[in-house]
Amino acid sequence: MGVADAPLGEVASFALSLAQIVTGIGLFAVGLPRRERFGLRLALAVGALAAVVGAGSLLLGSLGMPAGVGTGLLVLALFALILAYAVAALPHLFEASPWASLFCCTAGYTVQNLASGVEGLTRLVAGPALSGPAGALTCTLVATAVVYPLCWLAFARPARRMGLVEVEDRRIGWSFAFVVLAVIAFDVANKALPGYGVPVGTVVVLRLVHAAVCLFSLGTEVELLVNQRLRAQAQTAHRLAAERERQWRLSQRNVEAINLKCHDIRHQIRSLEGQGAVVDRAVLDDIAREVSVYDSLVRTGNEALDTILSEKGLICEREGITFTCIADGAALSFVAPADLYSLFGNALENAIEATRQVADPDRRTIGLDVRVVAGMARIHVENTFAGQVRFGPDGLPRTSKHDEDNHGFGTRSMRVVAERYDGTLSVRVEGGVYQLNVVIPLPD
Amino acid sequence: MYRIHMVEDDDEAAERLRGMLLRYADERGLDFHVTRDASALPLMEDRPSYDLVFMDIQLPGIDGMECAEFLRQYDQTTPLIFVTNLAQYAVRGYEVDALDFVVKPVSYGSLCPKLDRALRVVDRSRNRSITVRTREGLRVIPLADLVCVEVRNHDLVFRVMDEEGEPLAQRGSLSALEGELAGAPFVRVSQSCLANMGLIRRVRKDELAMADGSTLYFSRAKRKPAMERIADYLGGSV
Repeated sequence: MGVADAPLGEVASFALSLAQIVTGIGLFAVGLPRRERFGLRLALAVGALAAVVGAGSLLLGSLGMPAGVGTGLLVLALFALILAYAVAALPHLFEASPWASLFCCTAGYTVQNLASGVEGLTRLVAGPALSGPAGALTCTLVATAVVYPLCWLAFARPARRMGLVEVEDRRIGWSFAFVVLAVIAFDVANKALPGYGVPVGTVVVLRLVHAAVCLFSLGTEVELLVNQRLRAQAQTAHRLAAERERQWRLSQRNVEAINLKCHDIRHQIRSLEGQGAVVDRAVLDDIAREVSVYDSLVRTGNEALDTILSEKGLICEREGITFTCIADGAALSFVAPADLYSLFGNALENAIEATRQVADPDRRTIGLDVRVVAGMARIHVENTFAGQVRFGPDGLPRTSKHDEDNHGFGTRSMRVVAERYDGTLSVRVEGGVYQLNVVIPLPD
Repeated sequence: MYRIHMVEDDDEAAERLRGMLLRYADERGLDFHVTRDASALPLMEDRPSYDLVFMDIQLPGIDGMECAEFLRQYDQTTPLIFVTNLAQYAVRGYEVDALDFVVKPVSYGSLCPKLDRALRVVDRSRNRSITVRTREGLRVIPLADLVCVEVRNHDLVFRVMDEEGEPLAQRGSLSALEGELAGAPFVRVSQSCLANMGLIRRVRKDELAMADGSTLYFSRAKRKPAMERIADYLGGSV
């Protein structure tokens, strides 16, 4: 902590440290949604903290310098209290869970601690040149100006991009709180060391260790957060994939059941015709035609493909969407059925959803083409659509649905499946028609 | 000008399709020359060449599939679009390298995207060429024969199909050439190589086997965007 041991005034120095803490936490909290009357809340929170800190610093001042173990422990206790206060107060300022708050506060505190450590190191190295209140202030400001922007770039901004998610492993939060306090204690001890006649060189080394620990702590915390998010995403993707697997098995059973039924119905129609019964010929023809719709069952030579294409084909038939399909089932024989279901399920559902909204029913059309080209299995799906398609930086369309995490996953999870087989997925719009192309190298 | 041929025995269906083709051409300011046979025989006997063929599958005598098989023996490039009563018959269209198919009765709205794609494919083999300024003089190379262009020192080296000996060289920048060839099926596979997607024989994870037997390698940075472009090309979307 920036406890100035020059008569700058305990209050002023603590105020400076307080400002540093608030800014540090702010680096990480700035991305959080603010509650209403944020300004008022912030003023109240900071005011209350200032009052507590002010009282605490006066108490310390009354105990007098130089610091002994007792004072050191008191300082540590004070900062633990401030940390606890900040963690409790943050959810009242922002829409944040206690765990997000724990993250912001421990990370922010570490940044402040790092700045304090750098400041102490600078003063130590500069020696008497920077003693006195002006020197102390300069050191503090310079250290802040250097450390804060660097921490913003290296830790806060990447963490913010990933978004603060529900951290599931709560031990992480607590362990970081513990580390922060340990680091503060280390810092406090470092400040006391010159007073005990420890050589400057040793103290410099210890200060460097302190700085390294701060950086490591920040880096690890952010890294864990990032990994947590990726893990959470992977879990969701996994869940969706499991769902697909289940659907494919269901569809398979459905298709088989329908096949059987149609066979029976046709049999009955034939026997009716054979009996020469007094049945309206036209009605029989009608029934036969209805049943023949199920003839549009696709046969590509690949069972999984047959199932998904037949199922989606029936949906298109029902919706009045023209669906043309050329598919060489053998081209995708090396792809797992669940993956095929995922790829084509997503592709066709997106296509159906999009083309269904075209105003002119005549123009509602989906084309699908799967075959081997240039030593690769090539999937091409095109469909007409209404309105605009906007593309994101990854080349995939931005979803218009609000439930982005589940629906935006459609095309993204297709890409994940394709890339799992070393394939490539590309999407574009050409001539007002949405084009999806996936190529997967054939296994040798 | 595009020469489009229909093989269709049903007069009414043929007239419908012709009407739609001409409407399509009219709307886009294109010039279609549409011809028709009522059976597969003339095509098989005379072997005329067209830009695009619409082949009815259900023909009397020799059916559309058989005719297509025959056609493919001597012509692997002319795009073929089947016309059929039942979608099921055309699912195996890939066996005769058919580009696509339409189901009768053909609707104009569903025909348009297919024609768009067919013409994109037809345009690939349209004769575009590039003039190379070598030290010996000017050479005109049809793009269809240009396998790739590579950077060697400050020169661009043009590798042409079926040409042995010294490859053509010209001073220049690859990026500038890439700009010049915009709209042609070329892809930047690395900082120093531009490849002709039309002459790719086989694509593997990190390399391209070209029609002249050579192998080109992706650079790590360019692999993803290049593969996406190749995916679009192989899908008929560019």
